[in-house]
Amino acid sequence: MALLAGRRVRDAAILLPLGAVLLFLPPYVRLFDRPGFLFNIPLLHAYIFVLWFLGIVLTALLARRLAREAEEETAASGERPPGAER
Amino acid sequence: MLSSGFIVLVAGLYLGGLFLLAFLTDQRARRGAARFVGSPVVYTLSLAVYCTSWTFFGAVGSAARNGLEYLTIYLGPTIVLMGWWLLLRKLVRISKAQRITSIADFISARYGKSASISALVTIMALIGITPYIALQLKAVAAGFDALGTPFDVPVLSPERGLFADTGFWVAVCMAAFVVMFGTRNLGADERHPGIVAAIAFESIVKLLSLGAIAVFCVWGLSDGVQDMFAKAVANPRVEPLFGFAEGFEGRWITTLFLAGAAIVCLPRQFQVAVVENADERHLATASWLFPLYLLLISVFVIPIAISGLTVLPDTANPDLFVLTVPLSEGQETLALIAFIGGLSAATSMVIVASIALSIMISNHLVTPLLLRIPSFSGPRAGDFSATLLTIRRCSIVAILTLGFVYYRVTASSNPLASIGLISFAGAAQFLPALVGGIFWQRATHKGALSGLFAGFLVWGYTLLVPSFADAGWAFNDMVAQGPWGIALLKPDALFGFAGWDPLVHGVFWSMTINLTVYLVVSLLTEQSPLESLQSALFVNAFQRGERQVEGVLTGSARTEDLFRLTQRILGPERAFRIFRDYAREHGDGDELPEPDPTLIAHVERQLASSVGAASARTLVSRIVKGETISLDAVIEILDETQQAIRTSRELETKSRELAKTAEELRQANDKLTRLDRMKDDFLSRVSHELRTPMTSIRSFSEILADRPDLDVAESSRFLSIIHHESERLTRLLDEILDLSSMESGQAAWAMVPVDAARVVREALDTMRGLATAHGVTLESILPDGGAPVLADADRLKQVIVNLVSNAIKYNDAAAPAVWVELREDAASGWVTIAVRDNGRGIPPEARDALFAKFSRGWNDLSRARGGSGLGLAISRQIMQQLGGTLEFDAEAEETTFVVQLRRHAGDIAAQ
Repeated sequence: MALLAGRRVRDAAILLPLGAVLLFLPPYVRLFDRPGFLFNIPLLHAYIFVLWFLGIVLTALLARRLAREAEEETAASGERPPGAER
Repeated sequence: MLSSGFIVLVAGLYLGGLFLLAFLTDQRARRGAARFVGSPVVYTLSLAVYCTSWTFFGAVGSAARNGLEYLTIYLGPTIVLMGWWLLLRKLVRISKAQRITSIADFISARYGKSASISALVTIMALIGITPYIALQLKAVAAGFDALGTPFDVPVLSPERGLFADTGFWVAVCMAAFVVMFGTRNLGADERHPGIVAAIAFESIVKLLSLGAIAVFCVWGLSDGVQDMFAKAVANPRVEPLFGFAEGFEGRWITTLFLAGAAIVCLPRQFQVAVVENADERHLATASWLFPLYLLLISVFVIPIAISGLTVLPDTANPDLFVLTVPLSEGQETLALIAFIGGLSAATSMVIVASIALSIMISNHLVTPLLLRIPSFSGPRAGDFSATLLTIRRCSIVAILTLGFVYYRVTASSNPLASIGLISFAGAAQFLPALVGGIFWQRATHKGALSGLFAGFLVWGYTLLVPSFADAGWAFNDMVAQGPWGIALLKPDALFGFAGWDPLVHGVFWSMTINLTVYLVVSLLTEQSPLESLQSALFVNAFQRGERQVEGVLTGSARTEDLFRLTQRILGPERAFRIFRDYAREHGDGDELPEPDPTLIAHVERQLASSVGAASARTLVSRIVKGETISLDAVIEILDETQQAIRTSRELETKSRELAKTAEELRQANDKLTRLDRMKDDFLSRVSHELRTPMTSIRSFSEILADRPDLDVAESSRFLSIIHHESERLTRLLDEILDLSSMESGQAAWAMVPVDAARVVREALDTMRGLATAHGVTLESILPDGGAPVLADADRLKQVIVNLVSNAIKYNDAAAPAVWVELREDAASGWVTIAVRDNGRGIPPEARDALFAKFSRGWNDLSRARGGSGLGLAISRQIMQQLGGTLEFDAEAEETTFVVQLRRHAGDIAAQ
């Protein structure tokens, strides 16, 4: 993750939600609609919640990189960060 | 069983505490001390106003009825938050630059600060959100009733009088609460730190309360997760929760889309996520923290739904499982906690939604109307900010009244989730105009207006009308048979699309028609200058600084008028501060600032932060004279991006060309320097060469002149030396002239066919004397027949003589020999004459300069033997002139010069 630079981070920030949409749409969610348990949890529930949690972790990692990125950008352009105007 | 009085007391205390929290936060914020409100965590929790009583009560109900479909309501926002970098960040950035106050303001500002769009969006929002507010009333009322009655009695109230209806009292309490809460003052901008703090607190209460019940269900009613699922699998009623029903896809996709749209399009979500955002960087935290909140809520729902389905009888209302599950087990305290959680969810939604809506109503519906009345709009009218507050209070009451009316007329037959989804679908109608507006610069005001209107009509027709008919309140015939009996236009089977889920059907038609109309009309219409400007600012929000915008609007106004206007709308204190700060910032000290376009733009933005972009525009344009939008400036901003791309591309080409030119120049310069050096060299050599004979001529003639007594033999010897030296001088000068005439191409030669072999033979004959004198063996290999070439025979002979004489003169071998060979290559058509000797050869480092003038420095013999140093240069020049070549054969073992000429096809002229 630390190797991801500039443009790649931003591309990842766009691709992540698209990937999430894809995996939460019927063909994929349906794949796990079958009897069975994983860690005492029904397979379907496990799939959705594990995927959801993974998405959150990835978003958090990306968000840190993106925030640093934006900070460097504003520092470079010499402008105040947009939130700090009050 | 809890007594009603006790419940009211607890609820009242809770709401009182909430009010106190908001009040204290506002107080601290005014002193600049409420730092915690500006933290990303509070921002995230305020987003959780998304989880209303629909979530708190309804999600469990939905899970019990439709299985996992309820998850989409939380997955949709999760995905949008994951993509915050793309959408939310841009919305926030634009809203800050434009001082946006609401979603209606945002859309209207994008499409040229259009008053008609903001009014339409406000009306749509009001109608769309009414069922949603009704839902909250219904949930709290039903919760209250459930808590006050034994769990197994059906709580659905039969016809009750107005004052006996719990919903009525809930509505009244909430209206009073919101009026006190949200409209105590007209803030510096539409930010409400107190409310943000309160709803953030309520979000924690919701989460903990739902979590407590879930924990009770897992570890109180069952023996852990494994036991719970084991019991659940055995019960056929729980089955829907473990898999998808046949044909779930349509609804799954639709609700996922609606929920994703709702997190930005719902007026209250736009309010907390965009308008109340204090710092763009908070989004980075919310992007994962808010999905985590939603994940927890979704997880909590499952055990409660399972317990409700396994523990309670079939008749129990699933929407109230959150309350009735603990009640059925005698856990009254837990039930009370659950009720407080539900109350939190409902109040936070009602507070934020009605504040957002009241801002929209006062800014976009009432203010534009009031501005038409002269007494309100004249430059000397009274203080407007008090009027604005009154309007907002009335709006809040009106909004809750509408919600209550909807709740009464539709009774309580519909499940909570289905009511909420109708609202979501209504809010989703904003999506094309909102998202299109920030990514598609071409989108026009007319396109947005007609798209919104079309989508709204279809939404009302396909979703709202059937919900009224379901409630048995209106439109029964229309829904059953279609309008005027036209079955093709039936609201729930438009154009014959029967058999679809009503929600999927309504969302499909309203969204596709909305989008199509928006796109097509945008393509067919043109933007006004103000629209072009705004669209450029919105779409390129990340690429510009604010200063470029100002100066686009030109016009003049008196500073006093601007000040009076600001005073009226924002109050005297704020007006004073705005002008003072502006003057200081622009270096005017304590003077009133100059009324230049920058000030006018500044004032308009400040007003917009209170009354919205469209009304601010109207107000300012009233007092600004001769206002025009400079078209050039607009075009400049519009073209800015393309311009930048074009410029950078041009620059790239230019710099590449420049680099090429520089390289060529460098090469040319090198060549010139070399030539210059050669010229200097040449001149110095020439003068040196001339100097030697000149010196001897001068000295001998001086002797002759000074000494008349010199004997005859001596003087004649001196004279012959003078003669010899003059001849040498003449020859040198002749050669220089010869060379220069050849170089300038002036020499006119007789190019006739000659026999090269004969020329060589003649040249060798001339050289035999010299060869003998030097003791050099001279041999030749010549063909028997002639070798015809086109040349000047004398010149060619000169070349051969020069080469052979060099070979003889500089040959210092023990047994010196020179060979001359003439070959004719019939295949290539070349005649080659090679002059070879067995001398010491030419050192490699001297070979490059071999054919340069006076270049004999490598050989110390040369000077001693009286060469001019021009021989090879002249020879090569001659060969070039003759169309042939003269090369030094570097490959050969012995020193070899090669002369080549094209063979001539015709006859050889008689010599």
